[in-house]
Amino acid sequence: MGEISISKLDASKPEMVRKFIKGTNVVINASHPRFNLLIMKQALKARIHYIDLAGYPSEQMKQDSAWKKARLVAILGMGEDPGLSNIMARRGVDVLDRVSEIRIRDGETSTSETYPFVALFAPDVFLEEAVSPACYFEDGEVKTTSAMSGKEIYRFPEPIGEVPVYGMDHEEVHTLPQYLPKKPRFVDFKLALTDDAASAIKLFHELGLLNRTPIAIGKVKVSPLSVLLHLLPTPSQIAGKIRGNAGILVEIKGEVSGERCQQKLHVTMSHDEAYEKYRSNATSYLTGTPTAVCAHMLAAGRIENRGVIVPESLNAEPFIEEARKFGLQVQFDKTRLQ
Amino acid sequence: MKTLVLGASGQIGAYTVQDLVEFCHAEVVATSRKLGNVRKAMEDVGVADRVKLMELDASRTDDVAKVAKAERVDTVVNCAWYQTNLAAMEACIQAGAHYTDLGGFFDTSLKQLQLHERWKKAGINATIGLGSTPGLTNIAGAAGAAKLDKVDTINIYCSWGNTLPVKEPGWPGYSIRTVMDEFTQEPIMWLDSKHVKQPVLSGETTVTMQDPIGKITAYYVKHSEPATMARYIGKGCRNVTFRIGFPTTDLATFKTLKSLGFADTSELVVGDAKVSPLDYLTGMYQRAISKSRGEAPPHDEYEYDAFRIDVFGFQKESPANLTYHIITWNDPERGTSSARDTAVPPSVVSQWQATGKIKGAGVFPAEAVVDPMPFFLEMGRRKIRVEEQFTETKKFY
Repeated sequence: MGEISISKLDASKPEMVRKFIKGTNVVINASHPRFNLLIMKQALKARIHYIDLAGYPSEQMKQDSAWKKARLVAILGMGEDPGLSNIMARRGVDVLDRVSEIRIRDGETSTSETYPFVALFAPDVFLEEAVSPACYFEDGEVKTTSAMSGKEIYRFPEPIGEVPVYGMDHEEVHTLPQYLPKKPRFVDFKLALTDDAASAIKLFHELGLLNRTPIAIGKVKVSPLSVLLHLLPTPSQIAGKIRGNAGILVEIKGEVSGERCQQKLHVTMSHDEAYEKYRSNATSYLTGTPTAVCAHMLAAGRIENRGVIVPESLNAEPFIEEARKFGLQVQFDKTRLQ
Repeated sequence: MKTLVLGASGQIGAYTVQDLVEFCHAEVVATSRKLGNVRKAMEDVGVADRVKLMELDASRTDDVAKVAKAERVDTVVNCAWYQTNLAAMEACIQAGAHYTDLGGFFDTSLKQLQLHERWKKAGINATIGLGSTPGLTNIAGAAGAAKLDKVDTINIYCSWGNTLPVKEPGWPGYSIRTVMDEFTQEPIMWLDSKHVKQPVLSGETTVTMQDPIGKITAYYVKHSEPATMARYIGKGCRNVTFRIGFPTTDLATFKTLKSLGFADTSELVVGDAKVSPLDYLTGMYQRAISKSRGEAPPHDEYEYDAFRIDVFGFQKESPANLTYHIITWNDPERGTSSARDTAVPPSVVSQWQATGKIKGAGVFPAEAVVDPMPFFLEMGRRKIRVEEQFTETKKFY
């Protein structure tokens, strides 16, 4: 087993980041995406590989040639989704001759007697995503719709079953059409939200509680989002106190040998299992573990890519095989379409 | 008639000023804790050039008394938060002005009524609890009781919503601070001739409201009507209950806000600041209300505020009951439903106090002094629709 040490670090301070990462081989940035460029810059200076879990690929990719020149790799969005979802899409696409549609669905469902509103990954990122305009890719361009639009009841593999999902702006919509070896005509991403959660988020937004800018209320000047985040339970507080499941489903339509087919790649974990085995919740485990798998493979010399890359640029099958050793049982179903 | 309005920049106060100016033709001094807020509110409702604006804190008795005297107002309407009621009433005593407000959330209402003898001696009238509920609901209860020889039970139901096929979460139609109080404080009902505390959100029942609303599920909520109605209506009234039928999405979101801790007043340390979650939520809500009030008026009649008041009793020994349905729709001319049916009643009462239509020195709840039939006609002029149904049981055995 490796060693773990804990330090306090302000990711907004370049000097502090530089000192902290010195002497390591890879930095995993699990902080808010607004710190990505700063941390990437320090990693490049220190000649260290980089992995993050979410961010702004189009901005970060501009550094590709610098990272290639340094013979380093920066892997962007290597969590659950983006991350494992991109790799699952790559795995499916690899066996097709042509790809037409890719649908990514995040199907987390949880209930808690203790917490009626939970955010099972970084609450500020979750809330920002939910109220930002949604995006999808179609016929060569990324199109924007209103926040939480495109609601549909989607069928996930059991035990998740049918849940309401809403459109979001997610990294996969922007990167898959660009970086998959076979280009899809359509890509979208939708996230499961209960009706109560969707209503609560809309009310937070209308009340201005998702605003980062400090606002003076009476004698107090503080950012509304920071007040809300202070009152929301953290993912670590929620562990063990929620029931339900988390999972991702990637559906791909395409052609192989002239025949139309549909593939479904999915991975599911219950919160009970995540807590029993890993003292976590399933969403956190599904998000953090692909990052660990990636770092593990990088350390073992099994990732040869260099430059700034997205997960779909990695070799999908070995990654999925490795992820299975960490408890992420990715399933692959293929059906022929009429 | 000249009226001082406290809390005129609030969710309701701005529309009360509008009604005083446009329907009652009153001279109005519109005040709020911040001049900028009341100015914007008056501009939003289109009366800024017809009222006097002033910065005034409703909780500061001496300041309110000074203004009321200097301006020689006949009446004071307190649209600020109910915890300022007692301070504002004290100012009225000093200034010799009649007083009305939007309600005292049970406990404060009872404290206000205890001032009756002082007000009687001062020769001025305070008619308290004049919104939609309390207010219209109390008056409806009195209207029903007036047609019966004996009263047994008064049940009050309140609901709001819209007729859109997809239900989005809505704003509370009244202060979110009051909503948080309703979700945390145990309601007190008048049952078997005594006040009895109930668990929060207990008393679940299904009731049929006026078409097109249909059936709703409603819960006991702490409110002022059970505090006063049995005593002031009399006729042996044994039970008075009050319930709210929250729209389903609103019930869930209000519960979420409460469970997150937004109903708490204990200060949190957030960064360098000490924040009371309830104060902060209230402030953010008021900002949002102020922002939305400046937007275009509603065009579609699909949002409603609705009440049902059932008065059960006897007429000449036969069981009889009266049901009042009160419904207010969004209206392009008269504005949003929930603001209108709460803002108009205190304006009318204030006018009636000034003209002597409400007589009697002392402190009274609405059901004791407001003449229901002409009051309902005034509501009708503002498209707040009241209907009365009478049912009598005759036994042929």
